[in-house]
Amino acid sequence: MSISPIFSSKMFHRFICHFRQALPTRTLSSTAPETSPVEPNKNVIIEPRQLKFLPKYKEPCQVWVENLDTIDENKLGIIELHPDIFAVNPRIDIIQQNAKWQKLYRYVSYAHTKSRFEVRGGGKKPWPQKGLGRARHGSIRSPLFKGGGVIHGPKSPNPHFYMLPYYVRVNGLTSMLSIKLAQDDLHVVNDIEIPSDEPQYIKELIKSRNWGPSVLIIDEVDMMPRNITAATDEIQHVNLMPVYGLNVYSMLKHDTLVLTRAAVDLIEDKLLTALHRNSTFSYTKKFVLNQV
Amino acid sequence: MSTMSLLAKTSKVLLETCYKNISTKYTPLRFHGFFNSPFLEDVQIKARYEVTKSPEDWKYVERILPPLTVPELPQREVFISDFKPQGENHKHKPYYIARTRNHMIPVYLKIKQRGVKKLSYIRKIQGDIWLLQKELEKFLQPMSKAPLRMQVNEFAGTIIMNGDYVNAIKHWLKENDY
Repeated sequence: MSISPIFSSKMFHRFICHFRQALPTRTLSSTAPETSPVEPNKNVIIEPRQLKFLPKYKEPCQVWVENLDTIDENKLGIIELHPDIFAVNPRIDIIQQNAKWQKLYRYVSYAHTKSRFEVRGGGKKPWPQKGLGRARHGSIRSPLFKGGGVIHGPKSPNPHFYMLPYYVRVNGLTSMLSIKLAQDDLHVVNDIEIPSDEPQYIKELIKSRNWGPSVLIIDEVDMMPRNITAATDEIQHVNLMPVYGLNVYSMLKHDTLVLTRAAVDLIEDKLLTALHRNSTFSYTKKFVLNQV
Repeated sequence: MSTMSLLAKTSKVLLETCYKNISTKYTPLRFHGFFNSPFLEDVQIKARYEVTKSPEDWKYVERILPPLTVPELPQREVFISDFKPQGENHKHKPYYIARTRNHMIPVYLKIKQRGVKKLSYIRKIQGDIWLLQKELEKFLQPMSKAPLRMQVNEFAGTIIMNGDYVNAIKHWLKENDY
């Protein structure tokens, strides 16, 4: 029996489970036929996890825990993920709101035009009011004139900052994580220790595992191991990110999301706390600028 | 002047300004905000107090602190208010309405246009939402002369109804153990 370093050996013996050949499908009305127990594969371990706030009629979803220290994929076990975080309704409308907000809150428009009073000149009446047979005009910088001012034109700087409601941000994250898992683009690894600091190692690993060209690797802390930082430094489409930086836009942008085992715990804990928060006043109140 | 001495001088000036700012007492400022508000100072407590480190006492402190997340429902036969916890055995029913994190039924009234327009919202619907709509219509239609107008959003799991039927819907859902 292969024992991975992330699980304690005592738990192993206690929780050797029958390996079901396919991950069970989740339906409200369980009409799936009972499969006869296949012979147990003793290498596959369902790691016990204490899932808080488990909903009544949803089962936890299972994912493989993989390794990164070899190029070929090595399955170390199965962990169960919380259905309220990783198997919610994929609300693409909420995801769109999040992506739009992330683009806009830091965008400042520098488009600028001058009004008729800001354009230089134009103080004098161009020609007398009467007697010339021409149209009456008071200024050559009037918006009717070529080279005149612009009516209601853009003024610079125009910040587009706004705040998205707290629960739209939280639900955006859960929807996005669920979509990544449902589309088989979410992978859990035990840690991000790799044996070499060569970019070629990461490139080959991604190719052999059929991960999308762009990969986002999430770890619990922002001080990552040296080898993986050196290896991914040169590759622009493989990025490292701590859990506190996890966001909808980056998850949308990268094809594959790779979470470490510790990151899964932290993400789940933070999002569940957000979803079951006792006092939401300070989170859902109106956003104030210049707050200390 | 050498760079080292310049650095030393500037750092001294910086330190002095910092200390000056720290020592200023808080006074209400006109148009004050983040940048001109004073630095945070340690509060000087003059009252005499004792510091103890006993887990026994800490138990009582924890009892006072508000919980971070909503606690689980206490197991009671009857609640004093007309609150009714959700019943069991919804697994094989065609649709399911989850409770909110505060254990309440997710049915709300939204008043728009200065009280002219009243909308009833039902959220968190899973499963066959169209069957729920039909059953609700059967129950609510006798209350209204005009045909009921319902907007079913299957994707988001919500039903929006024209008119104030919140109490009726909550009653119906409680009857059906949701």
